Amino acid sequence: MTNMSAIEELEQSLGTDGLSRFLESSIPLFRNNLAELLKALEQQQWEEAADIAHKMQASALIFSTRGFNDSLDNIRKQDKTLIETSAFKMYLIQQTKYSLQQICAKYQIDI
Amino acid sequence: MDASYNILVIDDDEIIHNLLSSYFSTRNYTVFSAFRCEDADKYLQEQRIDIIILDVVLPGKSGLQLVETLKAKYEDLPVLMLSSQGSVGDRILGLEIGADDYLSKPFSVRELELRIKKLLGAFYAKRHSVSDVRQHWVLNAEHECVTRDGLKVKLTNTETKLLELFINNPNTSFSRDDLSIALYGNEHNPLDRSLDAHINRLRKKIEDDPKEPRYLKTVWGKGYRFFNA
Repeated sequence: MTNMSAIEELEQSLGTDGLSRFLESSIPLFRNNLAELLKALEQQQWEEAADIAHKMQASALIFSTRGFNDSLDNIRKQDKTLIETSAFKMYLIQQTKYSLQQICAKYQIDI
Repeated sequence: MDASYNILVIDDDEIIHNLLSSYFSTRNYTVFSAFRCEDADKYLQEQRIDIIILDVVLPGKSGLQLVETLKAKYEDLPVLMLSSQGSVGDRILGLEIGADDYLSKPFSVRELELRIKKLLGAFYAKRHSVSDVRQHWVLNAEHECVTRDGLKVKLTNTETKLLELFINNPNTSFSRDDLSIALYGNEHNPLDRSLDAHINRLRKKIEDDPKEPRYLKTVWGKGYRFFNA
């Protein structure tokens, strides 16, 4: 499930326009980080994947789900039996896709 | 706390920079963004930075190493460290080597703002009171003397060390243990009255009425405190 309370808290802090500007500039960056993370996992570059997972940790709770954030922990801990599977990578993609769709629909962001 | 403040954010996540810039730019702060430790130097040399927000894990030099370097160079610059939720060891180490506060990622920007305000307030009060004291008290540690409002007084070596400690930490209570450790490197022996004797002699030199001290006051149950009265 998407962590909408994090987004709503941001809306209170930034205002609706400020939040829209933040989402428009940051969602592409988040997608880019996810692409880099998937590439590192695909290439079994575990250290690099762990660094990217750490970098994404703060924004993951805004743009994705609690489950996605737990998965970042698995990557940081380099739990290879889990993170090298295709199902794991698919889970990361699905969680983010679902979450970003919800955010973009709610705030009418067209990215 | 109505003035404008400059925040230097050192983090490799561009989204964090976006978030903090969006939030703080509407609240009387200017945010400068550095993505690596090495980039921070440029801002510290070219801008007046009031506080640093620093991620522990950075590419290249680690944030922990940077805290140590920064605190050695800019003692009066508050540093708030951002760390991962689980990394208790990093947080403890960061605080031990001089970070002034920490916050776990992911964090609430409102909580971050409150912590920043608290740190800025505490550091401003400290800087203000030290500079205020230094307007009136000029200590020459090498020549073991102090000039108060133009009046020069000769001190002993111990009195110089004591007064240096007090002038650099106005309005701060020091216990006899604190003073003994600062002077001799060990805790105060309750049977030893020499520390009180040094304080009394120092009072005779710097106070107009040593029996009713205006500057170097006794704080009952705690020790001594220096006021810039």
